[in-house]
Amino acid sequence: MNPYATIDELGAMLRRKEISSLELTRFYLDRLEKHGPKLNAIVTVTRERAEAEAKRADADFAAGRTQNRPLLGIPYGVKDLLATKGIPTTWGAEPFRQQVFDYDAAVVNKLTESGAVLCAKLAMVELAGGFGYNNADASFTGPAKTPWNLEYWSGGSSSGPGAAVGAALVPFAIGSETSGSIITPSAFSGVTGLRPTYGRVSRYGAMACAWTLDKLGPMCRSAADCNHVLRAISGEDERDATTIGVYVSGRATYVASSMMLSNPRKLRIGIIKGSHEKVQKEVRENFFRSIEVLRSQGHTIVEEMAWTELPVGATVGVIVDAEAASAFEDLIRSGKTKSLRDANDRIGGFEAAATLAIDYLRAQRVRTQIRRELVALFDKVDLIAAPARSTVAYPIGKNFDEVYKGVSSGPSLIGGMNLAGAPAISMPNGFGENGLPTAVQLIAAPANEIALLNAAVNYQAATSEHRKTPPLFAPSS
Amino acid sequence: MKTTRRQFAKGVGAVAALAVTSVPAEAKNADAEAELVKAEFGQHLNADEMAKIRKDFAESAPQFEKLRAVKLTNGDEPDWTFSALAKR
Repeated sequence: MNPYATIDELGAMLRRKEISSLELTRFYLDRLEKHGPKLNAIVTVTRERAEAEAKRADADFAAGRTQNRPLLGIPYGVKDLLATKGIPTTWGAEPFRQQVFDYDAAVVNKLTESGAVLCAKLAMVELAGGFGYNNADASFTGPAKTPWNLEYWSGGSSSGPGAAVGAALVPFAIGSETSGSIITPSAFSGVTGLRPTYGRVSRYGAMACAWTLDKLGPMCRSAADCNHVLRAISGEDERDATTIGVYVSGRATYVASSMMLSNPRKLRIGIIKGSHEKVQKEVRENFFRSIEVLRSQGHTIVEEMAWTELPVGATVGVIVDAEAASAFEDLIRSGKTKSLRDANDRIGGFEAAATLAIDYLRAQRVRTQIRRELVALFDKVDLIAAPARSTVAYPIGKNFDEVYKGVSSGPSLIGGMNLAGAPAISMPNGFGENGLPTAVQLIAAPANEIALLNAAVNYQAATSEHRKTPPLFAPSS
Repeated sequence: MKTTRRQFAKGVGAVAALAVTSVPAEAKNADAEAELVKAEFGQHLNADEMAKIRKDFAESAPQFEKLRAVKLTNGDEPDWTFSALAKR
């Protein structure tokens, strides 16, 4: 049994009755319990619920209820900011360790309906990083580790999903991103992660960090797997007023990966000036190898595209500060933030709460201008490509601002494109310092996941980095 | 990872720029913000933490001023819209 199999490969095994969902689920539950603690990746293994859901999946297989259900019987995990009935939902933070909801988040509901099997609540940076953590050790579960080198961080704030998918403790997981929290752990952990368009996926039952930025998305073995999961979890939800529904701007929102492979699009792919010049050497080399793959597939590469002069970093910073301070106002006023793990987080809420209303509104007004400028880039190209992160994973035990000095991503593509609500995908594209993975990100106009995934699925058909497995967690381990 | 006010202040060049561009108005703003924190939440904070907060505000001031320097007109609306027909 290869734990690194994709959703399609696992589904084929289930349909051929080579393995039952219950057997498959127990296989991953055992891996979670065996390897999860080494990675600080797990909050709760949900064995009882998982076995019950797996038995239901097996009953559906036996009854032939399998059509258009690629996730039927497939195990998964969720970042521990999604409510799950009767199971602790800790938000990664000491003050919420005992928190239990009596309902499932919308995403969990949808995955249950699709027949997927919830096996674990996965570790995360406390409060999804809303108070400005500056160290990998920012969760009551300790610093989550990338399976490629246990002295380095798996990235955040979806730390557990990155580590757990990277070490094949689950075939896929759900993460969240306010500004970088899917793209970063995907890059640092060597997995493929999709940040959907803002509003594509209902956030009902998800911890709020910053309402106008928060998004949920899949972290998987491949872009094709992300496509499967996105289809299952997206759609309008009256409980989340930001959801955008199935039909957006007349665009289809789902095309099967097999159709994408047989109908590869020839796209215009832009590179933003300054986005690769100051990144780590191996990150840059691997990025241009990725660009050559894309060029060889018939895409037109448009170089030296200009980025906005508007203050992206300050804008996203003020919005996160103001919204997170409001979302956690009770916690801040109670003083219980002092029990958070990271030193910055212990005072960050107080600083954020000093954001003036007029500054927050200014940031949202400037955001309008930023969004217009960034969305206009997609009049010239279909996608933008960039290194997903400027460096490999950060070392555990050192503050972020003390390492990788002199390295820079240049323009803040992650911040800017999150302000614009644009979708992006991070895909492994090689290795850098200390055997750590690097990644390329592709970004599309809001609601254009189809073009994004078409390019990504075909890119991975021509490359093999996403199929590499970390030696410490070999398939036989 | 996400950017907060403290993190964008630590971006490349931000601290160096502070030494050159720091002006009394920015320092005054940082002090005022720190005083606001002290007034609201001082019971939860010791002297070292207040000093760190003051330093964080001072470091972020130049970037913050870039945001405040963006020209906006009366017609420039925030990037969200109240709807009387909200779904919930």
